[in-house]
Amino acid sequence: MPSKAFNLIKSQKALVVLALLFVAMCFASPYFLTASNLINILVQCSINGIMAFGMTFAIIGGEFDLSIGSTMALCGLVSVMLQPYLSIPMVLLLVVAVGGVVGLLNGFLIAHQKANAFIITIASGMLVKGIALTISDGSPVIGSNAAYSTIANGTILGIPHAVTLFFLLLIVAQWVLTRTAFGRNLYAVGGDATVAAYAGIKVRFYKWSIFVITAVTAALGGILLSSKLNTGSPIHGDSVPLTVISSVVIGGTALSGGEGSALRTVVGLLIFSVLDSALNLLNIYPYYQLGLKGLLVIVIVGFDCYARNRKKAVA
Amino acid sequence: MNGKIGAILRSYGLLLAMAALALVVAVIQPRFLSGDNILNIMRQLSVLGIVSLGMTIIIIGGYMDLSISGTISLVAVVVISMQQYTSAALSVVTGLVIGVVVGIVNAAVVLLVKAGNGESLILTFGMQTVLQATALLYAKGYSIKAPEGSSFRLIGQGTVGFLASPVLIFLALALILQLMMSKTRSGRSIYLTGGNKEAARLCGIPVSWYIGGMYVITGLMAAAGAIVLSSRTMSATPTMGTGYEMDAIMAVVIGGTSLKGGQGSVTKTILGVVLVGVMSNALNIIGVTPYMQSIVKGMIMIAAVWLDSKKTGGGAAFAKQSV
Amino acid sequence: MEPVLSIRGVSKMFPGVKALNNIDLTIESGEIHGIVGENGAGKSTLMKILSGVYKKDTGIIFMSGTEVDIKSPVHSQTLGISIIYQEFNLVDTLSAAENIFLGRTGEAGGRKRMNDRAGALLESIECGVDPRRRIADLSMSEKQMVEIAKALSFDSKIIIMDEPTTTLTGKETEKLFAIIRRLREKGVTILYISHKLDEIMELCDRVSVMRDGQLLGTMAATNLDRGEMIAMMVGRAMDMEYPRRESTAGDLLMQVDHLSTGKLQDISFGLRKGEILGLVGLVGSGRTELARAIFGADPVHTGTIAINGKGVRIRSPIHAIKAGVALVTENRKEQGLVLDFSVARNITMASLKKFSSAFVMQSGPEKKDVADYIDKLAIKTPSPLSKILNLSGGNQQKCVIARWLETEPLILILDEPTRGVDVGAKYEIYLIMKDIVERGGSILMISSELPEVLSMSDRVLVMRDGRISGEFDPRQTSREEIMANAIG
Repeated sequence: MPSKAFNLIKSQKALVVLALLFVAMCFASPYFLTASNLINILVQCSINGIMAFGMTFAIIGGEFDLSIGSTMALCGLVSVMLQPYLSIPMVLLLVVAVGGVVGLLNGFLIAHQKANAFIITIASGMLVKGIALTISDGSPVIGSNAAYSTIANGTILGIPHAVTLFFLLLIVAQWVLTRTAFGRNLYAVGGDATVAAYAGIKVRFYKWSIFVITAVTAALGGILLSSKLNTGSPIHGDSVPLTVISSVVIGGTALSGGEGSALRTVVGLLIFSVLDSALNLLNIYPYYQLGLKGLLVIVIVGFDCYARNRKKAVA
Repeated sequence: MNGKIGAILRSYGLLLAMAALALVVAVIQPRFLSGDNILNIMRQLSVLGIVSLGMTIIIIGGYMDLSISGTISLVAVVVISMQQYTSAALSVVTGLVIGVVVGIVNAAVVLLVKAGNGESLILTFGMQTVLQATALLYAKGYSIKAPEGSSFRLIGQGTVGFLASPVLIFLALALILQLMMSKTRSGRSIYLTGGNKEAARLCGIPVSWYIGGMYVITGLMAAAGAIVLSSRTMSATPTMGTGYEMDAIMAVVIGGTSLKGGQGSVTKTILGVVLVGVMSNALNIIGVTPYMQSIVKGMIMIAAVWLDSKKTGGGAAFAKQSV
Repeated sequence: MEPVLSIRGVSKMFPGVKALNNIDLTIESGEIHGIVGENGAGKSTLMKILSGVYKKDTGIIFMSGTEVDIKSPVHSQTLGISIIYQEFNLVDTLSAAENIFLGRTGEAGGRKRMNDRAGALLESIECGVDPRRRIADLSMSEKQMVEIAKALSFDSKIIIMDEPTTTLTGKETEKLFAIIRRLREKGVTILYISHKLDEIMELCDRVSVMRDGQLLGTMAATNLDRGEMIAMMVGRAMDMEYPRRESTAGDLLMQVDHLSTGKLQDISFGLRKGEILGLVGLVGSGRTELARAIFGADPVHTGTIAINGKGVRIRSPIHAIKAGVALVTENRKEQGLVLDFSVARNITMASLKKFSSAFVMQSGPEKKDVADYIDKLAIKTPSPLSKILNLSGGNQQKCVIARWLETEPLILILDEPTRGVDVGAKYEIYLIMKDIVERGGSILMISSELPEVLSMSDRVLVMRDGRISGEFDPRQTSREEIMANAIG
């Protein structure tokens, strides 16, 4: 009986960490368990979360995308800057298209030309950020259309749209991963691309799709953030890629590919968001927050790696 | 015939393209090729050069170190601020010691969890965040100035003959490391570790020690770079190191060292650093804004990696054997 | 009845090499057809053409009388040909059922139906594996069952098996043979590729021999003669597969006492100077663990090791090499070779101290030693600087042996020294072993090929479940007796 419980804890490490954090915070601060704080946590979570779902697809498929921060910033900027000239639906369409173009570029180089994803997405991130900096001349741009900020901030039944969109995407992502051929084949491609190719799965198509998905979710993230703040800025996405990847990994999706799920990513996201809220409520100097996040990444990835290697050694 | 031309283009294409670009810039702005400017280029690329030397070695050894930007920030603020209380010499030594300590800690974590290439990436990124936070906390977010007239300035602003000290330091370190990698047993061992870590271990090569050594060298080079950098301006900001890790990786890759490990060389990185330095300078001289330079940098890096992958047949985000 | 497969005039060229030269082969429906030949004979090229990985340059292929043009692996599967590779073609992170229906999730129906169908297929070959289990958690034999189930899910008429028993225990091999025979009864044709001539003779109805890209002939089971087959494979009559040798065993050199690790239990034995000690046992009996423990590759163990009377503490490869122990591992590709490096660097990498003075590498002595070994061991390579990746398996293995001879060891442990090595190179390696012990070195040889162990060893130890279960004189003991001891 005890070993069964132990195994359950081991397989749901992230959930346990989240539960512990949550309980600890409830005791640590009276403001934690309030509706407004919890909604705040969710909103915080949602914007990163939408991009984290895209990244989940990428990591399951055996790749990852470091350019999403820049894409997010660019799309947020473009959407704010186009507001005076076009209707909002047109703007949104164009912005998503911009994301799509970035995704197609990344996909071409990585899936078609087989270049190294890590470096290529760093480079394309640099390029996209350069474009963002150039068109904004380095400064944030304020939105001119009042209706725009309702995209993220408007509420249905008291729940901000951003959060609603997050849950919608969660359902879509989880459904695609578990119930469609696309999802199943994606796991295969990430698990072993050679075997998948042998079975007739079009690996290149799947790898290409990964980058389009990450870029489009980055575009959505950019729209939501710039809508929430009613401002677009070239530096919005700076710490995003690694925060997002860390959330996915902490949630339990392995970097080696072939496994994981959107639900696990949600756990990872919540861990980061609860931590952020906790550090704010406890008035911990923001620099300590930064350091703590870094430490968390080291500890969790390190522990995961260690456990994985121990299992390998015993086998 | 086509195949041969294609091969030449792939190996030297980037070099030729950059040479062509340099030529164009030289025509537009003759000042580009002046002795003054060339010395300027060399001085400017020294810090990146020093830092990239360390990055080369860790990449050859099959690992990754993203923490160097945090190390640079931390060492810069510590070294500058210490000079209010003690001598420049002691400050410099402290800075170098910090670099070594960071390297040891990185190596310890990587070895403890038996990380592969991919995991070392994320682990050192976590470390970068911790170091950056430490730098910010130490300097309380402010930039710091060194006391006037300190001898510290000689490092970054001095000259020996016509060469600026930073250039001398860079070339000296490059020579030492190149000789080490190509002619000594340690260098050979590092190449072997990057080529096949387990096979190297089974051949009696003390792989763990070399991994430690690699990270220490990388940390040391980051510290040295920070010292030269902060000496140039006689001041330090706690985010001074931002971006250096990516630029260093770019210089290494453009120079021709593969991210796979087990191959490449310090000399190749020098080439990469020079290319990056020349490019930055060329773009500056013809008045391209820093923002546009990011665009150009991004394009060059994409081109370099694209060509490299065409040469080697490509690789996934994480080589499966490392993870 | 039409033959299920008819190959006429098939040839295939690669740059500089004619891999297949005008192959004519007929496979009857419902037969178990063995294919033998040295490495490089063309077996794998032919199989890859049949399974759609390569395209033939010339010739025609008929299946049951109809001409077919096999365009891709998926196409070959829909035509009814399945191939089970030695390294298996499975995705470790997915379940058995997901692997069986890989890429065909539409056809398979929902998750439950897929699992049910997979379960049924596994049961039809008497495999009790739960189809929802991950491949990573299965044993080699179970993985093979999943591959067979996958082949059956395509209603394959022809199943090609490439070296299927390399990683199986004796019992698992028997089980596999039973399944193969049952498949034959159902009318499935099996193409069985193997180096293990005894298995071929036991299992197959007919055998085809290939050499240098040509099909030399097909023989019926009743006419099979081992010596004749080897002669055809090698192109010359080999009077001996193994070099004749007088025993050169002398005094006790190494004594291992009460060695225990997680897997090993209280191992004690001695090794004499100039002796070849064979170590046999089923897969999983602990042979490789023993080798690695003695070599310090796996550091945790209790017990003592004494060499020349003095106790030695071996907790890492560094200690082992210093004490005079060397290990040629069983999987050279993962743990032995640095594939991207040159032959020369691979040979010198275990003795860097020898070629350096005060940390600086001396290229003169390095080059000379490398040239010497290439000559002494007859390593076929265009140059010492060629990438070791480009050498054949046998020559790669010789490089690894050269590397360890460079360390001037007292004791050389060989783990499966001739695995993946063709018959010609095998003989050369046996000669090298003979030379080593005649000069006073000692060899501990682990092998799964009983004939090899029995012919080369002075003494044989049998391991079972982590213990030494018996010691035999190979000249006085039969293979059956040793096998019986190994199975227990």
